[in-house]
Formats: sequence, structure tokens, C-alpha cells
Amino acid sequence: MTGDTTGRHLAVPPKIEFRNVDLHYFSTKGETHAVSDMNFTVNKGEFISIVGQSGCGKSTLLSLLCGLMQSTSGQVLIDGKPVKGPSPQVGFMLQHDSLFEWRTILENALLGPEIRGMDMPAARARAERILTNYGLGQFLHHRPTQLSGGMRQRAALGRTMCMEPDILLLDEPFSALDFQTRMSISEEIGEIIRREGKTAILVTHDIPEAIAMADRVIVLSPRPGRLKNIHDITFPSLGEVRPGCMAVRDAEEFKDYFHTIWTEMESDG
Amino acid sequence: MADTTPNATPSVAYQNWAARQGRARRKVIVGRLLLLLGFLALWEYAPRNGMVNPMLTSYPSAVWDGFWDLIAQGKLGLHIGVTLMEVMISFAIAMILGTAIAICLWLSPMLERVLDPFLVVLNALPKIALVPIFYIWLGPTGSIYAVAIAVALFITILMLYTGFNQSDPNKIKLAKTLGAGQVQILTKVILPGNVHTFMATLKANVGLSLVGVIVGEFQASKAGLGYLIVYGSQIFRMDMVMAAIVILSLISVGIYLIVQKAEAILTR
Ligand SMILES: Nc1ncnc2c1ncn2[C@@H]1O[C@H](COP(=O)(O)OP(=O)(O)O)[C@@H](O)[C@H]1O
Ligand SMILES: [Mg+2]
Repeated sequence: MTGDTTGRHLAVPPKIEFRNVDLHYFSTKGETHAVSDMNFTVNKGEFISIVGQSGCGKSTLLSLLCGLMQSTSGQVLIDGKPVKGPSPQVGFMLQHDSLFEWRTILENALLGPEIRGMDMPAARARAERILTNYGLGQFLHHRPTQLSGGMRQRAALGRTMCMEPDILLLDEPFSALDFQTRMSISEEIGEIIRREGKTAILVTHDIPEAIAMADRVIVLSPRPGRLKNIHDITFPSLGEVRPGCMAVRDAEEFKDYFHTIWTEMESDG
Repeated sequence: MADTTPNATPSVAYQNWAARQGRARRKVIVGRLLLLLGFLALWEYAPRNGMVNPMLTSYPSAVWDGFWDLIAQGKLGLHIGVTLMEVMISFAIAMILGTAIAICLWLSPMLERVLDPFLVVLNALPKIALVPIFYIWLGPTGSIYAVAIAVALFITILMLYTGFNQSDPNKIKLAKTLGAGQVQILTKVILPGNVHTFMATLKANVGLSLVGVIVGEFQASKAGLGYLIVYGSQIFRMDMVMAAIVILSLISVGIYLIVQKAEAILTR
């Protein structure tokens, strides 16, 4: 890799940087080479999608970025500093909303502040404001089981946002939802993330979803996950300002992107 | 959102359905009463008509008299009180100690791996076999508590530890992404997520502590329902024995209902 793509020489380091990252899992069954020689950077405010077959190391990349584990070799950097462990700066949305059913929606959103020992009255006010913004104002004191799938996912986003992260990691957060909910909630959450200027990485194996939400799509090879290609996603035919996730699905460029990425993933067999 | 609120004005079909449900419920209650009455009648009838030896089985009216006899002697309250206190104390100690040990095992996988085979053996061992040893080591009172605690302790540890280990890995991962360490995972995810395991353990232990206490009292004691049962059988007062057993079942049902109530409140 050359210095240009890693951004090493820039005065301001990129928001996120993977530098020659390798990861091996060790278990009693043996060794799994999950991520190989990963190099890419993400700028502040960018929305990146990562696609690749199941088991190619997508979740592993996010875990490394969140500091849940350390790379076997290479470096994972945020703002030019190596990631040492979970920090409030990085918010993680998992595939399962994992709301705690013994807590109300508001109490779920306050989990992070409690763990981090933040100022609770301020966190509470913030959580109420965020959840209300996400259309959950009527449900602050409801239990998660009383909410629909889409509302639960919005509550999970609220819990993440309550920590005021500037990086959001989304690990197939919509895959447990039915098609209709999935379309509307991904549009909604995409809007929120863009509006608030967060840097986001979405992992998915749904190619249309990856294209619709992102500024760039990263394609990974099957295990061990290597960077196969990076696609810049732009829609010149739709004008200067990029419209919402739903509208871009009708753009001419959309089909081309889909076809290119699909072919790329197909060729892995 | 799934709407499960019932219609404001029930239809005729619903009213018919509700009436059928009510009738079925009444039939069940009548069936239970008939079964109980039939049993008591047979128990009363057979010994009185020489079909079984009344010396061996006693019969309900004699048990009833035996019950009042015990009250008249003024000792029944004492026996019940002694047994109840022994059950409560050993139940509480087994729960607290068992929970503490299960938490330590969860916090230290290394400790768990070292202790695992020992716990399995101790859990499988019939604790009743230890009664004579406990008696020699700890004397009459101490051995009662020791048996009752031993009977309940290991199953408490294993049930709780298994429950802790089956906690949702996604919730644990989520807590970690929010910065939780081991202790916070314990207090925010593992413990609150295992209230139902805790309650199941409590329910199992009510019965087990009672078994332990009664067996302990059989070996050596001067008071308690176990003592009453052994004493009654030695002097061939089957009415006294049966009365004690009936009281014992009422006590165990009573404690069980209290635990159930506590569960309903805690898991609301
Ligand atoms: N804790 C682990 N121990 C051993 N192997 C693992 C572990 N987690 C993931 N793997 C393996 O690493 C590979 C990549 O996993 P993952 O990052 O979850 O893939 P993806 O999210 O793309 O489906 C898979 O082959 C998986 O089986
Ligand atoms: Mg995954």
C-alpha cells in the first residue's frame, strides 16, 4: 500500500484507518484466519457500507474498530490513535436490538451513561429528547416487548446515540425486520445519521441496502476477508444534493452499481 | 405495534365462549373436590370396616382428633416453630452461599474449571448419606442445619451457574460495546437477566430444605415435625404421625405460594 491511500501524510488524520490489519481467531478447534491485510480509511462524516459473503470477517472488522478485541498484527486507528478498548466515541448497533426486556425503553437508553458513570440527570434529559425525536415519546416507560420491530430498532439507535458517539458501527441492524419495516427504518436511520454528521460503517449482505445508504461500498473477498474493491457511490443523474435512500433506488446508476458489485461477489463462487 | 386490546363490546359468540370456559373451570374444581372427598371417605371407611388394619393406616377422624390432641398438649406450635425456623435458616444460608459461590465461579472461569468435577460429584452424592457423619461432627442441632444446607446448596450453585452461562451473548456484547467490565456485566446483564433462574432455584430449594430438615430431625432431635413423626411411629400413634405429615404438606405449600407471590412481584 502507498502512503496516499492510507492518509498517513495528511496533517489531519482520517477518522478511521485500518493499516495492514490481520486477525486470527484461536480456538480449541484450531486457528481461523478471519481478516487479511486490511487497508482502508474513512473520512469524517462519511457513510461506508461493507458487503461480503457470510463469514468473510465483516463483524470482526467492526469488533476491532470498537475495541472488543485487538488485531493479530497491523493497526486500527481512530483520529490517528490506536484503538485500545471500547470508548463512548464509538457506538455499535448489533443485528439483534438486544434491548433489555427488564428495563423500560428510557432505562435501556440510559444503560450506557450508567455504565460510563455519566451525569445521570443530563443523560436522562438527553435520552428523553432523542427518543422523542425518534417518535418514541409515547413509549418512554413501555417495555421493549410492547414495541414493534421497527420501534425497537429505533429505541436501539436511541440507546447508541445517547452516548453521543461520532462514529456509528451498524452490524446488519435491519436483517431481523420484515421487508417493509426494513425499507422504511433504514431510510429513517440513514437520514438521522447523515443529518447529525456522524461517520458510519454499515455491514450488510444486502447489496441494494449497501448502495442506497452509503457514499462508498467496500467489497470483501471470502475468508480470509481481504479488500477486494471500493466503489464510490454517486448519483449525478439525481442532481447535486443526494436524495434519500428510497429515491436513489430508482436512479439509473443504482442498477449499474448493483450489477458491478453483484458480479464481483458472484465471481468468488 | 401488535394490538391486543379486547373489543369494547363482546359479541354473543364471545359470551357463549366465555360461559363455556366458566363451566369448564367449575367442572375442574368439582372434580378436584370429589377426588379429595372420595379419598378421605375411603380412608375413613376401609379401616372402620376391617378392610385394612386401622393400627397401620389410622383414619381421618382419628387424625383430626390427634391434631386437636397435639394442640391441647400445647406442643404443636413449638414443633411447627422449630421446623419452620430450621427450614428458613438453612434455606436462606443455602441460597445466599450458593448465589455467592455461583457468582465467584462466573467471575473466575479458571476457578470454575478447577472446581467443576468436584461440584458434579458433590451434587450427585445423596446428601442424606452424610446424616450420621454430620451428627457425629456437629451434634443434634448442627447436623439438622448441615443436612438441610447440603441438600440445597449444590443444586443452587449448579442451577444459578448454568443460568448465568446461558445469558444472551448479544446482550453481553452490547454491554461491552458500552464499556462494561466483568462486574458491570454481572450487575447489569447477568443478575437482572436471571431473576427467573433465581426464582426456579428458590422453588426447588423450598422442598429440598424441608426434606433436609425432616431427615435431620429423624436422626436426632427433641422437637420439630420430624421428631413428632418418628416419636409417633415409635409409640404407634399413627394419628399423630399422619397429623404431622398433613401439617408438613400445608407448610410446604404455604412457603411455595409465598415464593410464587414474590416471583410475580419481581418479574412483573
Ligand atoms: N470467536 C470466534 N472464534 C473463532 N472463530 C470465529 C470467532 N468469531 C468469528 N469466527 C470466524 O471468523 C470468520 C469471520 O467471522 P465474522 O466476522 O463473524 O463474519 P461475518 O460477519 O462476515 O459473517 C468466520 O469464519 C467465523 O467462523
Ligand atoms: Mg456478521
